[in-house]
Amino acid sequence: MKKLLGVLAKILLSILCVVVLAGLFLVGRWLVRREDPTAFIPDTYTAYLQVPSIRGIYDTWLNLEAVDLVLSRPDLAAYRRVVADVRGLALTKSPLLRTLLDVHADVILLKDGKLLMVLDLGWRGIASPLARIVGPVLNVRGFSFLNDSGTPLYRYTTGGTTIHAAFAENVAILSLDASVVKEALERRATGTGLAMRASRDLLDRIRLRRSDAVRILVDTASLSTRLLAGSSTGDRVLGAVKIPGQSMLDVTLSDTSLRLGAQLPLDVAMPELGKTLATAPAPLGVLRFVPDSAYLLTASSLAPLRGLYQLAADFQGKDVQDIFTRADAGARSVLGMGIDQLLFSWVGAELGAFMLPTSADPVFFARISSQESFQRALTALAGSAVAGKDSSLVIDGSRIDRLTIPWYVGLVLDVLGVNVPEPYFVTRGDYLFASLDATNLSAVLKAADTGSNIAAGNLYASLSRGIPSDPTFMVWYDITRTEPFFIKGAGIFADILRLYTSGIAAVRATPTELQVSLSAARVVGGGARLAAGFPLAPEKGVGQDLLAFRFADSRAARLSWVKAKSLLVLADAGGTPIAQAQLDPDTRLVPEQNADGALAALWAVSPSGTIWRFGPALIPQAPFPVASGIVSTMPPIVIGGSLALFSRNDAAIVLIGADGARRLLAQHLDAPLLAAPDVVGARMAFYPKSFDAHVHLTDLDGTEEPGWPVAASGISFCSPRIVATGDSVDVFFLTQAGVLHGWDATGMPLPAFPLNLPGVYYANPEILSAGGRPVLAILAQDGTLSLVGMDGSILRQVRAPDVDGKTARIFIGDVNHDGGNEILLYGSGAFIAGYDAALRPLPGYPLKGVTRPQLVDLDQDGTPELVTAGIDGKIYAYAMTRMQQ
Amino acid sequence: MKRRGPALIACAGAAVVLLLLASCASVPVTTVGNPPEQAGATLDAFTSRLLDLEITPDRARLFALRTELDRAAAHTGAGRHDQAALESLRAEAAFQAGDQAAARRLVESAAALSQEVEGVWVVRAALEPDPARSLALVEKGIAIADGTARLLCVRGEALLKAGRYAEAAQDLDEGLRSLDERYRALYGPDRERAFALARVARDTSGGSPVQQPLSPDSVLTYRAMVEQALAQTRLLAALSPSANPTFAGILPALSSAGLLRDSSVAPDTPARRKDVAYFLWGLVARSEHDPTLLTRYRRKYTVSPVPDVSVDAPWFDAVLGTVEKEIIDLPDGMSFKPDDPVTGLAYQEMLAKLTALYR
Repeated sequence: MKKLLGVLAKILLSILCVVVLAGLFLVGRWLVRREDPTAFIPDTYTAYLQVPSIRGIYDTWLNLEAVDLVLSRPDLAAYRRVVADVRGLALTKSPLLRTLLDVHADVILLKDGKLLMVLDLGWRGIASPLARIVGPVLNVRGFSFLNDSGTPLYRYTTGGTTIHAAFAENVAILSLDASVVKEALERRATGTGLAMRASRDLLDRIRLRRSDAVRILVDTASLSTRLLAGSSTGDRVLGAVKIPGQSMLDVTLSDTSLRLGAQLPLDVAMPELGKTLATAPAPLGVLRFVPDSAYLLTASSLAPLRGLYQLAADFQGKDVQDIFTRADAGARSVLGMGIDQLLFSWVGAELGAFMLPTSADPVFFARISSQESFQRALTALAGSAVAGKDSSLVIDGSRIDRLTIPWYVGLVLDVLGVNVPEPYFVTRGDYLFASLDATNLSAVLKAADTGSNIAAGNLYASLSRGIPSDPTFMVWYDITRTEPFFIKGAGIFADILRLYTSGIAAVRATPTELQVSLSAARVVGGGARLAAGFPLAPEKGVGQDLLAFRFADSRAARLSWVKAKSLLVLADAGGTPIAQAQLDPDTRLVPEQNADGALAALWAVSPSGTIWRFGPALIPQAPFPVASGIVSTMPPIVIGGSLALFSRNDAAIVLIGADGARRLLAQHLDAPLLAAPDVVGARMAFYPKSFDAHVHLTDLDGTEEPGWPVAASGISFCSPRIVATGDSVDVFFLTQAGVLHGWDATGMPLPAFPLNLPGVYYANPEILSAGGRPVLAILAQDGTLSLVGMDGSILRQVRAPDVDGKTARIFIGDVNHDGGNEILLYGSGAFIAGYDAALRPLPGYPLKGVTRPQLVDLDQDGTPELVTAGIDGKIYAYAMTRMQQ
Repeated sequence: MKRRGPALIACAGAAVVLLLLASCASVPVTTVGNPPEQAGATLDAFTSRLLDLEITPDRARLFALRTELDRAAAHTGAGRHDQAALESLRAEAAFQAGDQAAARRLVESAAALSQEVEGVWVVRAALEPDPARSLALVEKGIAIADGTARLLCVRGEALLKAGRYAEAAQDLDEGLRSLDERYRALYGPDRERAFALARVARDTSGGSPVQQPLSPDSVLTYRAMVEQALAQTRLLAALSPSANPTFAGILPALSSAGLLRDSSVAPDTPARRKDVAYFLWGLVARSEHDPTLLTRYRRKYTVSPVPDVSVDAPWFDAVLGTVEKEIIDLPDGMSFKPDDPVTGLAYQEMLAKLTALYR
């Protein structure tokens, strides 16, 4: 026995030794055979990103709106689905996966639109040689191993996405395309990757990874050429400086903030510019005078006015020089002093302008470098063409003087884009402020006196962290009021910046380096914004209704509409058709939803009564299609899993079951239904359209409730509405002439009803919850939206501008995810109006769109988007966010 | 703000250009030769006056405005953008005055100063006689100009003329929402017409395409009532052996079928709401092959539920029937207003509803 135990111990010891030796071998191999990730990367690409951690990206970046925006580019459409699939994987819930995914990665979008990801596994690469052994025997769902001519390749499939991978020591190569992985390995083997072809300088910058920010390799050369080339000034600027062809841009991104930073080596070829840049700028001092309400501020500390004008002349040439000569001659002939004394002697290096929300006129400012020269110039100007006391104003106790700018000064200022022929002006500290609007200057004085200035605000303080306090040039902006020049126009960069409403951009330049910083935040963030990639313009447009939903067996959102009157289209969330089915012209679509809102089936009903019932991928469900012969007068709806139509022949509501069986409800009605019944719980209310105006309340078999039907006072376009609160059931009915009836479950009128509302009514009243109580939202033809309580009180009213209540309809839903009800008015004009339960307009509205809004999570980020079709046939989706600061 | 915004941005641009990377804004080179002796009227005021004159033409006031604009242009000390805006206003005024040569010259002068002024493209498009080229100019303007609301309205009008009603409605609605209320006098009727025609186009299926737009306030005549029904529906097809019958050709058949309330009436007599109801209800009865519909309501009611239509009026059944079927509406929810005229557009909407019921 002892002998046996000894043998076993020896065997175990041997195994342990083997394992330890194998481990040591692997570690040794890992230490010796390190691969450079850039060796696998091609030297030409469309975009190159360095990410500090795949896990970090998965946790924080993948759900960003900015990512959706980037993926909305047509050439990246394929990746939008991939991201949607990956979002649903919940990879980082596993501690092991979290650790394994905490690796650096280089993500490269190749010229042919394919994606390559190169991961530096770090210490995890010790085990990579084992992948060749473990791969073939690993039994994981979706995972497969392929030995491709001696090259081991690994494949993992999830949803509609397949990821291909290979390992080379400490490097993992991933792509959605096996050929891309093989090409990357080939590049390493043949020495044709970026590591061998890029300049040492660029490689150094690429390898200087950051642990807290994504880095993007920006093609600085083509960017600056695109911005500047084409104009004579731009060409001169391009000739005057040399910047690196490619630069690394550090990006820190969340849905609420964005920070960009780059340091570029600079080579200034123009001596005058080099000399100017050699003077270090002073910290901006004007901020303490700029009111905190300013929404745009531009400030330059590049050079005093004299130097700035000289540079402008150097860049723009003779025109600017000629203007100066004429202005100088004019000034000398009138005042006996030249422009140099009149302006350049006292205007310092800090110059700029800002805008206040209360005025359309900007405030220009300049630092006074010499008070003595300034007073001399002011006296001279006032002596020639003054506006003295007569044109001064006293606002809030401060005297604000006005000055007529003589034409010769105006010429010089005009070169700099300053056009203030008769400005008011004030001085505070060492600054001169001028504006055509005196109230602006009053605000400046108030800011100076009270300390309510821009720099003291929390937002500015938070955004300015990391921004140099002594920039050569700076812009503070609020996109909700105006876009700064660098955001104007289209382009992915501009679109991403537009997601963040307020920001500071700064440039600090020296003769050898250019430091660019941008810090932005989403401040007003609440409201609706067009979702990334939208609007979609499907071929031949969306004719009538657009549905957005997910099938019960899937997480993926789907869109559906009828194209060219008779072709049913099922498309993915990006609008790419998945399936089509031929219908009769003008067929209506009816979704059949489960309790959780997912689609159980999609019904379609033609005007002549042919009925289809489709499952996922538009597969017809037996026994459909069925030619029912029912020409329904009312819009079809689904009641308890059956399609409900009104048959004139039977004078009854007909239910068509999922098995095709027919059942008649509420037989022998005296008039047809033109509006669909309202079904709540086990009760159904409806109104056969007639001047007799009988309103019915039945159970779901069509048996009339005791006390019903009841007579209303006139003809109506509406269906009765059932309001169930606790055990009580009330029914409300609105006539076209504005008589609002209310009855209890026994058909007795409710106290305070009927209620006479002024106006004419076409839209069905809808029920929402306001303050925990049910309330009726009622829309009049003139656009007046009213909230009426169950006690007959009119709680609130608002006039919705440009809403035609004859065609508009009411939609109630939690569109901004705040847990409450919002009211949307759609179907009138080309826009959807939005109000909260207090009838305050929702931020971001009105939205382009005309069909009934659909709420569905298109991008699978956990929050539904609002989807609608425009009158132009395009599909619009809007991301909805709550107000946040 | 829009006028001063560029100045602010240009100021920033002047500095930025010198900082090499960040800006493509160029320092404006002034073309001004005279000093700005007086501030003069603002561009906004000129724009407002020109708009008033477009809404209510007045040759004398237009002449006076053109003189003032010329004077302001001679004394301008404005930057390039404002000069362009002023030139485009002069061009627009010249166009309003019918002086196309001057309008052409001035608008090109404005364009040479700045292509970003919306008015430049508005006038260029107005001067272009070829609709396709005019539309292309508007499209280009929308891509370039710093304001697009008016251009959207101009494009909407062009699309309306081209029969692209839904797109027209979209543009006119979007444009008008951003413009001064007074622009509704210029573009509002077209917006309503575009929406109505888009609705008709959507509701009409399988029949003839929607007719070229009738003027929204044009009064429907007996002739138009019949001809539109012939063109837009198939409900009268059985009454004439001809594939394309004329009003005169089908009149005897209409009379014998009892579809016209007064068959002796002159063709260009305005059709009242009661006449239209009578005609359409007759079509409904024919379509349903049920002549009892023509007396259905008078057999049922002794007191009319519509106060201004008595039970013994010949159009009583027609009124109640067409209202119940939502072909015609009660304007105030109670009364029918039988003697009111019908606009061509309203009639098209009625026909579209009828067509949807009886395809």
